[in-house]
Amino acid sequence: MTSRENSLAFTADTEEPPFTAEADLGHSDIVLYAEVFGLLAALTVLTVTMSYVNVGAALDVPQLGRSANIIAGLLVAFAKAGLVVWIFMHMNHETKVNRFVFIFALCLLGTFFVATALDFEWLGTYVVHGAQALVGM
Amino acid sequence: MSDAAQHHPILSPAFHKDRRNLRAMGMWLFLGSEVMFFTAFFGAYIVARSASPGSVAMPLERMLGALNTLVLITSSLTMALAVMYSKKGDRARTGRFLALTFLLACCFLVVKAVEYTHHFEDGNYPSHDIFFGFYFLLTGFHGLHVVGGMITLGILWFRNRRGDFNKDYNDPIEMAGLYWHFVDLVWIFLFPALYLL
Repeated sequence: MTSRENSLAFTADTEEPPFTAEADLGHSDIVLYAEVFGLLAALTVLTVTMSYVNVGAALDVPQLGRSANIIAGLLVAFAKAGLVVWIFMHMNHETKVNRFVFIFALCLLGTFFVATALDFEWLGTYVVHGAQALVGM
Repeated sequence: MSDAAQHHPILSPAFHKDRRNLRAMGMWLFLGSEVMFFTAFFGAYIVARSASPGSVAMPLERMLGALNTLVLITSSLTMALAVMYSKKGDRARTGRFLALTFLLACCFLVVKAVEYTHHFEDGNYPSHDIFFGFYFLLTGFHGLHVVGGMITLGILWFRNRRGDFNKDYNDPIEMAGLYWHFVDLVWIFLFPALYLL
């Protein structure tokens, strides 16, 4: 109580609501959300900037070619998605069973992508049967 | 909360928490099914990209896409603040941030409409090539999700104004928040996949 009175004594704005644990929680949440927003904006600028440069050459792995840009771009996207799910969607405060529900869905998603990748990366199904150009058919 | 309400088993804090957690589980399951919905189209796009010979010059306007990304992450911030204030029982601020989120969703759709107009002017219809087929499929369904979110936000704005929500009962706003962040999440992957990489 003493510390609270002291802190008020140094505050010019007497309209401030009295300090409570709840009000403090709200304030720190705003700071956290602002930080996450700043990170998301910075990562957006980063990923757009990266799209104008050859990431493979910049990181001294030119043999990766375009894949380096794709990998780097996806890493940034996963970082942004992680921030949104963990902070904005409150996964950090979610119950264990609710975390399980969503993470299990993401595991199914991973299974889908791995199975698809197996088909065309290693078995070469689509290359064998020929493919059309994606752009400018 | 009155003393009687605090000791009533139905209105106890544990009850509010249980109800919220069960609703959140339903929402997470729904979002899981939404993940699968977008995965189907996204997976098809990846296969088409991987099978496509030669390099791909992405034909979209990156800066408009980047602008829309910023609009959506800003709307995620305002939605998170609306949820936070609804949990504190601050009706006025909740309403303000719900309205702000709605306006940012409008901005997103306006930018998207400008982009679509440019595509049509350039003759880039969905049938133009495989890329634009996927582009309109993915952004079209994402846009429909934005519209769905806006309808939800509008309803919640009115319900909040009417006084349906308080410190203990604000599940609909929180669940709408989860949905809205998911729409942002989809765009976080669509933007690099369609505009940048």
